[in-house]
Amino acid sequence: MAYNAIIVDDSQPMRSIIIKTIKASGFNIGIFFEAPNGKEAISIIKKEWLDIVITDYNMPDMNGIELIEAIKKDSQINSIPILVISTEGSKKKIDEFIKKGAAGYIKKPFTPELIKKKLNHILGETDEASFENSDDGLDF
Amino acid sequence: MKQALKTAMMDSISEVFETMFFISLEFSDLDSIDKYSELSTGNVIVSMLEYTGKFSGHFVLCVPEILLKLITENFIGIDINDITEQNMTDTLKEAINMTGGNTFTNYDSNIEFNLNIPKIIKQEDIHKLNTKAKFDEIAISVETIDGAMCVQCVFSQ
Repeated sequence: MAYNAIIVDDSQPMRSIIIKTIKASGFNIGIFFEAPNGKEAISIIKKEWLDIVITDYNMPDMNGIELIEAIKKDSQINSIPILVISTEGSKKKIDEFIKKGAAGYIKKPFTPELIKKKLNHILGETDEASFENSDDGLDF
Repeated sequence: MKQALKTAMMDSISEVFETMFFISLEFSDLDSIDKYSELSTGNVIVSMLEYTGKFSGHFVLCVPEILLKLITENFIGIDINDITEQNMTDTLKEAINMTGGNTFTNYDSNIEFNLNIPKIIKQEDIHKLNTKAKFDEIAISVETIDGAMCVQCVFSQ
């Protein structure tokens, strides 16, 4: 099956590279939504059918932790898994992401293989199924 | 501590630029960012990332405009002729963000450092940052086949 994802990052090039990397990994994403901060992400998450939230931590207006808290507080959307992709790599910070409710964490820089492995784990896909269902080429 | 931080920085620069920007690099040590020869051309774009933690300071990344265009092309995958100034400054901010954050993870992942939002600064402001506080610095020239950039880490002991 194809999964819908929202990429939340204040850097437009980083949103593009995350999308490009996921496509290159062969993971089957249906629609990519984008938001530059947590506030805009919340309004999209409430309106659209989403299977996963992929968010940065360090963003203006509403950072990644505040976004996780806002999602987990809202019963309408709190079952959507959240993957944090961040430069923040201290054990304390990663523990905080997980404690607040993130389903996984990836450190920047990242590879297509790592993103695919995390998405497979979080969304309960096998590597083979996800790869076979992909209609995007490995043109990374 | 300075040598360990420098090693962590060089590892981080390699990981970030080779993984995300597909660029091969060679390093040479500079005593100070003032020794970075491209600064004299005036065609250098500069990003800065402040941090606090066990020690505090900032990172600076200086990239010649032509090299930054190529890095941006590699990063976001659009034709070099379609790259805007915004694409370039966003890419430079992301590069310093990843390099700085990854440096601290490599240095010691048990220590928490807080990173600020990266900014673009004017070339002349590099020295204003350095004179504002009496900090030590690490400056590394990062050479590619298309030109040399410089990464500086300023820190309080």
